[in-house]
Amino acid sequence: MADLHIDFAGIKSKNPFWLASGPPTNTGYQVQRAFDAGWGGAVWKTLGDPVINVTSRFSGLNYGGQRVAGFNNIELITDRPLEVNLREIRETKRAYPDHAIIASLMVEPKQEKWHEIVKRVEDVGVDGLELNFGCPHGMAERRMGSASGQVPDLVEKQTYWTKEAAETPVIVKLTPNITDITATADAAVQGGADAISMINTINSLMGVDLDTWNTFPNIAGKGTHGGYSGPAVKPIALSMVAECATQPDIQVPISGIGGIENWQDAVEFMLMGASNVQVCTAAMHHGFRIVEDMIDGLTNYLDEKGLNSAMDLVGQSVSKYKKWGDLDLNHKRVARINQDYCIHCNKCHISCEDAAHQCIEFYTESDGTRALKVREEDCVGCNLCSIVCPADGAIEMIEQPSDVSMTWNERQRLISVFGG
Amino acid sequence: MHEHQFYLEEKQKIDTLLGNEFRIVAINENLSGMFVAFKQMGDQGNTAHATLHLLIPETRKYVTNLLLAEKVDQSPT
Repeated sequence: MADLHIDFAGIKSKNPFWLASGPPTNTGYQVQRAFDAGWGGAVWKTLGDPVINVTSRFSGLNYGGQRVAGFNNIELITDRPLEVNLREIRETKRAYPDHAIIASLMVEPKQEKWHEIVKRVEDVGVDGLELNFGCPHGMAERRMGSASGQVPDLVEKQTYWTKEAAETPVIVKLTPNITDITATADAAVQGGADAISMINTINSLMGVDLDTWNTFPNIAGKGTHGGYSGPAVKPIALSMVAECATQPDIQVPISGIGGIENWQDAVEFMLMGASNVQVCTAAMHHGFRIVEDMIDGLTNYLDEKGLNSAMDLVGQSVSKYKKWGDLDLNHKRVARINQDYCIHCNKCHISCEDAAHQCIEFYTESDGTRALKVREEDCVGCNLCSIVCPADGAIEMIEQPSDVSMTWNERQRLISVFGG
Repeated sequence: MHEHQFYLEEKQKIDTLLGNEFRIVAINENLSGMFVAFKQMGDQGNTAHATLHLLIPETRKYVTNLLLAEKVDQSPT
């Protein structure tokens, strides 16, 4: 059976599944309950000067038949005194010495503030620190969270201050609310970060009630922007992990966060360079016991792949992630309709006519029935028909590899010789 | 007419010129597409010129594949 243990920047964990900092890691009771369920680690809800939270903190985006396709929160960091959290961290670490406990931290961008909290938190035996430079709501109005995390100099400086005092590994959690996350990732590395984690939540306003004209969520009729998470954000998070994993200057472990809710999501993040994953929204939606399926699924997957360790997955897909200009223009892909599975809904025809390249056309079978076929010479292989097709197996995308590859960048070099 | 037909027409024009000993001597790509200048060197030292304005992406790709093939042919083995 494959070994799920991971070593994340020196932090040992019996599996790669950690709870991300957030409502599920607010108390010792919750974290211990999570460890009993099987989570390998937990990032404690962000510690700092205790806040006062509002009521009505979350809202969910239901899309089609799926509840919580997206999730928005306006809850801030812990509203409990530091001493209470530290006592519970100490108790939890004593009771669960083989589980990783990482303290998420957020204080004002002042050297003495970082020194103070690092020392006090490390005294209770945490395995590592995660600097919350990401939350886009509330705390950002006080120059913390994403307000810090959007300024590379502040990321570097605060990481450096933390490292001055820290004895445990320092993970810098990055905000996605920035044009180029590699800029802040690089700043964290320059500041001495032992690892980076991403993504924190995405700035969002969930919606507006058409009857009352109030926002979702709202507090006595007033709302504010919050942090967006859940399955909807996974592609954004995965892309940011990939961007960092492919940067030669960012040679620190990455903890993947964002929309992960099953073992398959976790594998994708690890293949794209994450050494472990953190989960929050899925645990809020389904409860801590989702980790049981994650552990079983990952174990089976590794066994089927003949891999001995979860760490063997890390970064295996990174070399497959390129700039657009390095993709092969000569590689061709075309759609083909399998009449045995087609339900004649015509969605492929409509989408191709209206939004693609008008290459799916009707023809009449010998028995007089009308059917659809792809005019392959005009098909650009965009996938739209197969994406909108509701019948599994009705549209297959056929690869037609070229003998010779030519990327955009190679092409531009070629024609530049001719003045192009 | 479908785009593939336009491609075949443009490709035919290119192939005809190349079949008549024209060579690509200049390429200019701009907002209007690709302008490919051809030159034919006659046996008597006389020259002929031709320019094609290519609109179809597949044809513009075809041109650069021709250049790529030529480059590969000229590479030392």
